[in-house]
Amino acid sequence: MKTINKIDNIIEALSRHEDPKSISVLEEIGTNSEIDEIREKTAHALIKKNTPDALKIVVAKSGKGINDLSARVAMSSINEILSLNDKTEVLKILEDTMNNEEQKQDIKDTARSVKALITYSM
Amino acid sequence: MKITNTNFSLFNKPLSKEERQEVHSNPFGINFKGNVLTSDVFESSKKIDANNSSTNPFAAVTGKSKMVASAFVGGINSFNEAFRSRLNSIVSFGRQIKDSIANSWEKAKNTEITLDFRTLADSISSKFNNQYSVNNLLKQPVDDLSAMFKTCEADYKNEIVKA
Repeated sequence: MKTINKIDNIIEALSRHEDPKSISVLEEIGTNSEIDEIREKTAHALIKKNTPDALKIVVAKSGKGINDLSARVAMSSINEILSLNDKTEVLKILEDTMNNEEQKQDIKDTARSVKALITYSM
Repeated sequence: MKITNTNFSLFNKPLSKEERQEVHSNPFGINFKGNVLTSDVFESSKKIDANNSSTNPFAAVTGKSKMVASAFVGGINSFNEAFRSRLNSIVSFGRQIKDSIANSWEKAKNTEITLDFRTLADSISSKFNNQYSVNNLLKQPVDDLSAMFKTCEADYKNEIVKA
């Protein structure tokens, strides 16, 4: 089995794992990886979890998910958010991020843009 | 088509190439070459008159038209030959198929089929017992997954650097 396929399966298993520690593993290894491909897959896995803790990482943290420096990873994360069936949780996280005074302005702006996209797509 | 309307005569001047083509062309595509005309083409006119008075429907046929009719019959014969030769080729084709089926059956009867169940079982179990299949990974604790993730990520990084 190819290494990238092994990584795919590990990320998939972590996204489906019920242990809350799986989120921290994905954040620690996946979102901090030097490889764009792994960061992209990890962001997808966190969005699929659709839990507040997982969504906070991809929405409100600098350099991760929709705030990734790689345009490909950021756009792919936004697409994954748009394709969620239940967007209630992600809208709540986006709202909190926009209204958080301690948050960086660029992260707030990104959150506002994504929320607008979701609103128009609904 | 009326047979009497045929403008063909044995005693006329030789026909031009175009005329000959017209005479020999026929709607059935039958080749008249090689057919020998029967002797009744040259029957006397007396006999024709005698036949005219009979009830035979073919009695009214003239000498000229008899020749054409004879050629036509000859044509039918050649058509029959062609049809028979084609039929023979179909029959021989059928025989070949029959023979090949019979040979295949003989081969199949003499072929010994063996299944290596051990190898088969190993290959199947290796597919299902893959350590990195999602189902197997889900059964493992997150700490183990974390270690595997780190290892694989490092390996992949090395692969990219080497490439």
